[in-house]
Amino acid sequence: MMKYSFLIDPDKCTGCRRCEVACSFFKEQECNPAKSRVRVAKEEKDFINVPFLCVHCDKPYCQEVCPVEAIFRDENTSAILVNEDTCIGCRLCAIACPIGAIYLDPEKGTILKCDLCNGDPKCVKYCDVKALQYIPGFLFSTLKITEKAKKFFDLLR
Amino acid sequence: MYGWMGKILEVNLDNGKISQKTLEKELATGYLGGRGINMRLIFDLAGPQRVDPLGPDNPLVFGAGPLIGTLSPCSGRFNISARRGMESITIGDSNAGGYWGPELKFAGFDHVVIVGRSKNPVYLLISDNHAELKDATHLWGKTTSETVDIILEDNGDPGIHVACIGPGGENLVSYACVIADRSRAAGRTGMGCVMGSKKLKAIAVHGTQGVKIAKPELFEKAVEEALNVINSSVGITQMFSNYGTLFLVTSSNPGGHFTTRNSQTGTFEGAEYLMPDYVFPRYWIKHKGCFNCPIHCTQVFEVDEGGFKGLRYDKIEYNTLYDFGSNIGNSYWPAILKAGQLCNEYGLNIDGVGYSIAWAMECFEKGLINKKDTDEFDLSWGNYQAVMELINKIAMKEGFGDVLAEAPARAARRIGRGTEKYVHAIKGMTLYGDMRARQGWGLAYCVSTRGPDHLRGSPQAEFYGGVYSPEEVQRLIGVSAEKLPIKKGTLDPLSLSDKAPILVWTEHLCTIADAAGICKIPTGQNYIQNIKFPLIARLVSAATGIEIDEVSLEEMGERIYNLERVMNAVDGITRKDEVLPPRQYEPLPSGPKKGVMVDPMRLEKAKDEYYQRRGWDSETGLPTKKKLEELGMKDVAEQLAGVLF
Repeated sequence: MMKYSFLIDPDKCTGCRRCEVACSFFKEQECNPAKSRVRVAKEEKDFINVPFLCVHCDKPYCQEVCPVEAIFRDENTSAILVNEDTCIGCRLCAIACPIGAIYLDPEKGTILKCDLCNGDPKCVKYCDVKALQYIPGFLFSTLKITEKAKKFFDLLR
Repeated sequence: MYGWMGKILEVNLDNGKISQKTLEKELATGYLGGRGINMRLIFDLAGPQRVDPLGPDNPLVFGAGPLIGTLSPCSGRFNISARRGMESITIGDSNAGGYWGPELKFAGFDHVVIVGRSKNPVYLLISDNHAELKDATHLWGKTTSETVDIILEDNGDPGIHVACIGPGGENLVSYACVIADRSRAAGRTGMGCVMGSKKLKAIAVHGTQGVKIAKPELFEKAVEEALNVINSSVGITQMFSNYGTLFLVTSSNPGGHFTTRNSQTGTFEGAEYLMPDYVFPRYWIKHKGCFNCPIHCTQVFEVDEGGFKGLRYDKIEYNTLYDFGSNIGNSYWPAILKAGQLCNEYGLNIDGVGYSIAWAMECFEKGLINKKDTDEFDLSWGNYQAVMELINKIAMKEGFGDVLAEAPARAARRIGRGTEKYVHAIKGMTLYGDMRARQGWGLAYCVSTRGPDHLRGSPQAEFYGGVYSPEEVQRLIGVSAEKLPIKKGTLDPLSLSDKAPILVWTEHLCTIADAAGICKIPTGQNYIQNIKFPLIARLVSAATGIEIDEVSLEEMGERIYNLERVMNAVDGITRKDEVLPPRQYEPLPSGPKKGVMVDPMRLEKAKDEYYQRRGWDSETGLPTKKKLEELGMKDVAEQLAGVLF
């Protein structure tokens, strides 16, 4: 099976937070960044924006730390998912996540975590500047090297 | 409620009382939101009477329309309005992007109404349906970005968004503005000055409430369509996305309306150093976007050489380019970026500052003022070092800065000696560019409800004449000739005939954009590939669940516009105030449009056509009682009995 991955490029992110609005609209049926599964971290003074979301690790700490085995991997999409019926709301997964990409619902206190929208993430669809991409592994490497080498190419021209 | 949050926050600074009220459906469907509901709330508080702009009776209202905070693209723009502005003699109204408007809604409110005046500096903190006034003594005197830093730090919450004034507003500079999110200016009409008079330093917002959408499937479809319009517009994706408004100089300088040396002429000899192909390779570093905006017109720049080495700043506009470039005779781009930053940090409107200094420079050139007046500054054209110092002095109202802080219209009365002749203002507010080579804009500036301004409505079609025939423009706009006649004169920038219908139509489009919360880049500034009434109606209907068709939406725009007009009328503003500054009636002395000027008789005729088109009294330029009743504002007419009617 082809392995897909998120490619996050802070240099391209304009900080507009379309990803947050799209995520909450499609997952929660309301426009509310506080209920989004993707968040843009900002350092406004230096004009830096970094979109953050669950990257569905190969060794998910969240899964390991879950005391009731509510976290599992979806076989079709490889997404790390939460079984809401089993979840006891201890939030250990959010604490354990090394990149801080598991969020809490501000009203219910329950876990908000990317589920990959069944393999076709809406945040990616709505990111016009391609700061967020969800692509096959081989393309990940090609795109990344092409992008990062641009400055180098310019120098050689 | 869907689309709207359904709540209005009321704050009385006289006694510190804070209350909430429901946003009634009649108000929402009559005036839509943002600028529209702001105006109605203001009318109900102080419409029929005259108020002192800096007195406690001048209500200051913040408003975010129904599309703000939603998936609808470019919908992050909120309005700040007042019964009276300070930069102009009209109502106050100003619009800004960024993230503040959406966050106000996430905090639970559509509008915030501020009345009264605090004794000590305060700021308002609104979070999740709750609001409190907090001491702002430690913020008084701070620049706008310092204010943001301190409020975030004090509250331990980096998710807070702040709209605040800088020293300019505190010191009551007439054209002080409100800055949201560090660099987003609600620039015109002096709303920062009004806020300063109330000793209100900032409104900080943060919340976790969602904007609910009534018909998600229909809404998603309308959003997709709006995105298609934006993405298929070459003007937007190639120009605004890449260069922001800074690309406009590529057409304005050859077109003869790149205002130069206090509008003496419309072509600048140093323009090549201000062109995108010169500036962007040297200084540009990245794009930045407002809330949920795919256009990202904000550009971030960095200077790595010369006296401004290390300067990194965003959000400078085409206006900044002439305010601190051509209009003061300067072609050193980093100085323009620095001046833009200083204005935002002090909370000063760039057009107010730029035109005040340009006016002083021309008076200096003509020998009407000298170094004794200017605190020993040499105000020769292009002296940008003096400009930097003057911006500081204006914000602090020190020395000559105290004169310039009045804006040219009042400052010239203070100085006299014939300096009045060089004031470029309508209804007290300085102009945006030169009108001789785009005369339809001149008409628009004369009749606008907040003083001269392209964001109130502009007969932009006059720039299409060289490219399209009237029939083609008619087809591209998609409105029948019966309803909106496009003729040869409509497309000719040197003509004043056939301009009224398109002007009225675009005034309503801009009004609705402000009321719904959409940016004017994809709506009001380009009618060929833009989001027009039918699509806005679908977005609003699907978001709110209330069926609003394009006809009633346009009528809503007309209602709001008439309401603004009657409030100005209460203050005595009539047809006689709707004239261009003297220089616009003199021939352009240089450039490709040399010799062109506005004929005052033709302008008067165009005004006749405009007032008639609007169903107003041609003699006075005022809305009639009949018109107000037609628009469903019988109650407004009744309240004005004995005042206007």
